[in-house]
Amino acid sequence: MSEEDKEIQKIIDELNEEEIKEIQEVKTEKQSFVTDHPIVSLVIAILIFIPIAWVFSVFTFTNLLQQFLFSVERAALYVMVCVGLTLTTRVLKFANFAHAEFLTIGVYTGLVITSFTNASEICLGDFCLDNIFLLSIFIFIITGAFAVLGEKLIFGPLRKRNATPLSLMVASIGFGLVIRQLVSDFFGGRDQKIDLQYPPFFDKVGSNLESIPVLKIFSIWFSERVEFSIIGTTKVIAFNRNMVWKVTMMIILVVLLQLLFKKTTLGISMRATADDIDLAQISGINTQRIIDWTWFIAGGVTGVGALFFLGPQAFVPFSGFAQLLIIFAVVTLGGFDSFEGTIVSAFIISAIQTMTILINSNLDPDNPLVFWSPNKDWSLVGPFATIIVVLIFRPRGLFGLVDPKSKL
Amino acid sequence: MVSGYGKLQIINGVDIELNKGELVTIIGPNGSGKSTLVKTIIGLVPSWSGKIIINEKLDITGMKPYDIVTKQVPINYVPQVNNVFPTLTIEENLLLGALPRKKDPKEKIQEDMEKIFEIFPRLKERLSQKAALLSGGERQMLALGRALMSNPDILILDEPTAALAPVLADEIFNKIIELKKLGLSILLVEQRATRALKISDRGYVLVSGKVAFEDKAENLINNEKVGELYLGKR
Amino acid sequence: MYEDTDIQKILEKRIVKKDQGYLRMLLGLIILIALLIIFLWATFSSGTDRNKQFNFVLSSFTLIFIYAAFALSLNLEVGYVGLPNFGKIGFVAIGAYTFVILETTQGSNLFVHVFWSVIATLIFGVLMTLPSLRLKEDYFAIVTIVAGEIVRTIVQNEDKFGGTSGINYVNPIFKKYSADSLVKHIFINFTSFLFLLVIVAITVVIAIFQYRGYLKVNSSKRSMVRTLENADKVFLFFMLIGFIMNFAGIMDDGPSLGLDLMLLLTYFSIKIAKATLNMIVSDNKPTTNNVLVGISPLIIPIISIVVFFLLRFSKGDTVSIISTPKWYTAILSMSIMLIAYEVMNIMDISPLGRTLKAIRDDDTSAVSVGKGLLINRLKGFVVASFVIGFVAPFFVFFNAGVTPETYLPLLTFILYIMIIIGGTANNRGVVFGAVTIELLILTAQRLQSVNNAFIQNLSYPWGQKVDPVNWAYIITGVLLIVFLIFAPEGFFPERKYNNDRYLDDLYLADRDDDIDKSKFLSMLAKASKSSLIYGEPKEEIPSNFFSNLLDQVKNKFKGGSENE
Repeated sequence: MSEEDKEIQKIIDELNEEEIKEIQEVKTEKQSFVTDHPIVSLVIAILIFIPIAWVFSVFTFTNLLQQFLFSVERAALYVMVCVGLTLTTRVLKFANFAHAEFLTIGVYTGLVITSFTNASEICLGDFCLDNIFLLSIFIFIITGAFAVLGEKLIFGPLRKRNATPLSLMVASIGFGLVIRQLVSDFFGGRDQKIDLQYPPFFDKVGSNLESIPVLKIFSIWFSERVEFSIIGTTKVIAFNRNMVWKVTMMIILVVLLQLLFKKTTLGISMRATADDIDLAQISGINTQRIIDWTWFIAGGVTGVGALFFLGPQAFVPFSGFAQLLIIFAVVTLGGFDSFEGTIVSAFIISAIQTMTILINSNLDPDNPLVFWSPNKDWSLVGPFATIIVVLIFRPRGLFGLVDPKSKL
Repeated sequence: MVSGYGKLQIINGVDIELNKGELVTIIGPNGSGKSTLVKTIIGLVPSWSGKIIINEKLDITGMKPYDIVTKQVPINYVPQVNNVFPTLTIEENLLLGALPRKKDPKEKIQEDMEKIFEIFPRLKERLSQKAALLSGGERQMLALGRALMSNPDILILDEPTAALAPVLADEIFNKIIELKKLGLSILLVEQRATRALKISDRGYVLVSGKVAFEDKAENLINNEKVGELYLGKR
Repeated sequence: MYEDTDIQKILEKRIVKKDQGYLRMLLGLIILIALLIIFLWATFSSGTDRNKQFNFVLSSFTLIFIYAAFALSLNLEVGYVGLPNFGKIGFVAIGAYTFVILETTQGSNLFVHVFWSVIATLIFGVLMTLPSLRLKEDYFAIVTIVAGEIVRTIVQNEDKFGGTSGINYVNPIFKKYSADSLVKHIFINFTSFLFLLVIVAITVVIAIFQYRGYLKVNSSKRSMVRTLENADKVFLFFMLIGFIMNFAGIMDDGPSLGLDLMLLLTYFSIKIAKATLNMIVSDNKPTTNNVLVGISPLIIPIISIVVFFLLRFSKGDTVSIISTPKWYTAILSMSIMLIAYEVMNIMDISPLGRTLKAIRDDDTSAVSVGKGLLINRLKGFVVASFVIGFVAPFFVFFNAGVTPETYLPLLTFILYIMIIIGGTANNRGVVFGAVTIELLILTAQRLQSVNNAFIQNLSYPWGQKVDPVNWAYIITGVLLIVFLIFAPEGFFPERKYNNDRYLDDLYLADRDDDIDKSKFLSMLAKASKSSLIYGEPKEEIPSNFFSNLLDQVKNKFKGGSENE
């Protein structure tokens, strides 16, 4: 290469460098706004929801607020049961169909602790075993342990034999089938229910707070049933302690996971393992241990979510499996491996479901344009359609890191 | 301490030695097994027979990579591609590099990070940026920095200048010389043979998994046969 | 010429490998037979009504045959096309609902409505293939499972489609015979016998013409095998016609059980003859395994026929106790399954099948040699959907209508498990898997009501009763996982028609400098060629007893046709 050539090459290289820098700076601005701050994205999701709900509803303000609250409650539950799947998908790179069974295990663990043992008598001061906080910790550990068991018995050996994501997925279907049938054989197909119990001092605190006018709004966290009347109307909206705690637990969970991912070595190692497993090993990360922790956390979080999601309603061993595709809808829309995307899409899916119910309940069945039966439950069609539309038109979802198309 | 010394024999029969403070380059045509060789040393590829010994007695044969780097073996490796974690910030990347040093206090690690910023000042400007957004040259620097954070005695570099513009490659080579001056033993695998041999002490030429030539670097450059085959001299 | 000991050793090693494969198949067969015995025991020891027990066996076999046909169709998509369709049950639902809705609204017109059912399934199949171009396998799986669930949600919620309770439907041709009307005429009468003779004669005539054609390019034995291979397909067609005519009462004043059984026996005789001849002609060392494997999918029909005969003689009268609608649903669905099986076997060796396998293994290479990705996948899905659209009406007959609960995604999972345990991309294995898994589940259903104190009183310490059906599913799931980990190719591994398995030997030769490369290669080429059923050169076959016998038969056939 002559001197002249070198000069020209130098100029070209510098030019490219500058151009690349420009492009990257634009990219950085775009990305850092939402994706780096899940709490911000949560707020954005709520803000998106309000006008949509407003447009589609022909109701009073109270009714809208009521639907909005229900929607937020459902979204909070979706977040709790979906982040686990996001976590396993991101680190292990396959769609875990046995995830629905973590819900089943979680909720049945809760059932065993509350109904089969005299948990209400095992107390430490005011904290009895059957209150939601201690129960959550137990469910977290047991469901997490089940998830790790799955890794040790099934997914670990399969990965060692260089299994494809598809055969891991099929194995997870088998794993799910085994757990579901075991649970249904052990407990029968009866409807079960868990009443969420709170520590006794909550009522005391609640009644004290109610007497103070300014702090009355906070009594909802403690008092069993507080009714709110909106100024100017006489209508009452249902807004109870369970709903508040579902949302509160979701926020606690999101914040804890956020801290885990950003601040702790375990969380950073997890993200590193998800990025590149070989490089993680070279960097001194025991990837097998990280994978075990991933399963444990994913399983545990899902189990706790299931306590709030399925527990208060009537549930059967198949209830978890029935939620599987909604969970997949949330995770797909969020982008399969994006924690932030999952939170946002939980709100979107929940809003879609609420709107489906609202619109259908206000339609006239005799209208010739309404070709379907609006009096039936169509709330599942929205999430299902979301999965298909997202996977076909934007396979990496809202905030996905990896484009499923590019892996073909 | 006795000088660092490594020995390796893979299936085709390769003997390689790296003395303390030395910069040794491995060159060879495509598919000659250069990358496989270094991957075997670090444990990513299982060795079929033979031994990898560090410090004359520490046998790391058959260990998994994370075992090798965490068991106080002062060795680290920079792969050819995918050598940074794209979704992690630069700071997190560097901190992960320090993961093998569990015993060292945090202040010491911070100090070392400052040292790395002295060598690669560009990294400091973009501390909280995701590594995926870095340019090729910066990425290589980050990868080097990540490896240096573990405070190694031996550094294995797998084609650090691959797919880089000549200017950036020069910069990387300069950094490697700087690192050598710090007292590191470096095993360099390179495609840009002449350039790499100029800065190194000794060199090996690998052909289909066997060492074809082994000599001092300047001798290799002047060796006519090597030149004809791999350096493009006529 | 090829006496080199090194090469002999290597080839011997390959034969040993093969035998291990046969051992696994034999194990599978033993498991199947054991299951069958437990199933029959459980059936005949629950309740006292012989009639009910027999009808349960019949409807069990109907279900098994229908699921086997579904699994065969799914296997075409999963094993050959390489697209994991997890929404198979959606295809079935589309076909079944189309059929039922047309039947109930337009009046019964069986053939036209089966045609529309096929068309509807085809359209759905084509639509489902399109996302495959954009998505990786596991994402495609999610899309299909969701598509299947959307179909189910729609039929469940829409009042026009029957809602949650579904649509009841009994075909008018079955209405002719009430549920407890029995198949009369155990013995074959003159008209039926004549009919049997006629269709056998037609098959033989067709066979002779084909045999002459094959003789021009093949050896006599090879031609015989090929002729028999087609003869059983030809006879299958006539057998189906025979069943339908017999059912409609054209042969006689009512259906004749004797004719049905004779048709079945003739068909299976041709099958067994084919398997035996194949064993003799093929390059493999003749073993009993070969014959066993050849007749493996046919064990159930044979045993059922034997059981019917036993029953007939134990009762000592001339009227069977078999319900007409059940019997005909069973043998018609069996015929449909056999047709699907033959279609899939043709697919296996056809250029389309080989193209699909190439695309499955490496789509980039396949595309680069000019095989269109979409068009070939579409072809595969069209054939698979065709089979589903054809079988779905029979599923409707069996269920006496449609209900949304029948089309849960669990059924697709079970079909998938059948394929993996039986052997992906091996039709015989798929049928084996379908029979085994479904038999396991049906056995568990019978065990629930079996007259056995031990099984009835089995319960957990906390008072919950042990449900055998749950345990059947648990065993199925465990089997799936065990097979995925330890034997992903299933009981019946995929048959290789290419030279893949010789690649190992080639590597060996590459590493060992002592082997004469050119000799080795020519030997390998010969070995690989001779394992292809249709590729063996004519002059290589040594003459022995069988070939002489066949020559005699051939001469007789020639003489006969010339005289005419």
